[in-house]
Amino acid sequence: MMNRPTKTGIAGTLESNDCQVIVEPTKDEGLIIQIESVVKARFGKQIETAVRDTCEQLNLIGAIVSVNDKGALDFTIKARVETAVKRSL
Amino acid sequence: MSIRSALFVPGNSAAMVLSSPILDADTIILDCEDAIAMSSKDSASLLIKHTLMQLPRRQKEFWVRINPLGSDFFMDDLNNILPSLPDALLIPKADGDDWGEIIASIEKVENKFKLKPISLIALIESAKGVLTCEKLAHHPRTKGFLLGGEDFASDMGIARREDNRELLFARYQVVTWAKAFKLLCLDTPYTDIDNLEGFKLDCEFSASIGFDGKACIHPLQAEVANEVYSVSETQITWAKEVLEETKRQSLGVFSFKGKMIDRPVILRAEQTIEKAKKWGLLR
Repeated sequence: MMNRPTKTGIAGTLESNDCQVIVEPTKDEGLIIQIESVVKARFGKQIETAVRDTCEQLNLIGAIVSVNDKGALDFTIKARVETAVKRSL
Repeated sequence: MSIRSALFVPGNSAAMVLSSPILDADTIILDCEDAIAMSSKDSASLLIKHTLMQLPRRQKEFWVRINPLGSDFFMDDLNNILPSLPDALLIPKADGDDWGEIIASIEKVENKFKLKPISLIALIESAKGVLTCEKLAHHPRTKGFLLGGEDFASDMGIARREDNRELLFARYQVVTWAKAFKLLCLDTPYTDIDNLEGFKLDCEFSASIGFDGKACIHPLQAEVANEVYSVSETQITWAKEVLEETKRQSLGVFSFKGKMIDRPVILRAEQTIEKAKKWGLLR
């Protein structure tokens, strides 16, 4: 079963080692991932993979997922994405 | 299970969870309960899940304090956290009457994910919990007790005192039942984090009546607890000498350095060496 957001879901913080994730509904079925990070040049791809993998595991469609990263590790990013997605449903 | 210090870490703080493996505590308790605001319960539970799934944790144990039975978060915590394989669950507001129902819920989730049975630590923090320790101790899934003084005092309608005298009965009751069933027993946190001297005195008293270790709420407390609940060099030397003398003697009871040595004393010496081995204190 696919999951489509019905409202905005926000999780995480802008503190060091954390990230804030915002999941918003869109009209089409695609997934748009936007990343802002102090380490984007070096780890941007890795962050995007963590976000995309988590969204796919949660069967998310029709969403814009925005991540404001403050140096979060992989598992923190995945946790914040999962929380934001679940809060958006 | 032998633990001198168990440090509570708020489960929703990414920075604190991340730094927890390097803190000087035998065990880290990632907290979903009292340290977490209602609006962040889901977030803490999921951060703990993903952390435990990826964090290397060979050096120390990681426990999780879940939300209590009857709360909106109890089943979500079990479903999120059990598959991430923490070393133990700390069950708040534990008492003998609810224990069976709590364990049935845990076993349902363990069966769903085909997990091995997890160790369960009962957080005893009510008058009823203290009085029903026996039932908790009898249950084969119970691996230990932790006394929660703050909630216990609230339940009793009494104020906390600097010397913790109001906890005397609860402490003796909980630790005696734990020892009777060979369970781990950890003492209540000491909430005045700036008073390390008072914390040390409190540890020394609880160690003297049999507690194995202390719940801590600051990394500096964990360092002190490790020292107090540990075994000293003098104790290790004494234990080694007693055990060597025991090998030389073939008597059930003998005199050594002016003191009577019999079976209980030899057992204590063996326990001292066991603890010293576990904490890497043997040279």
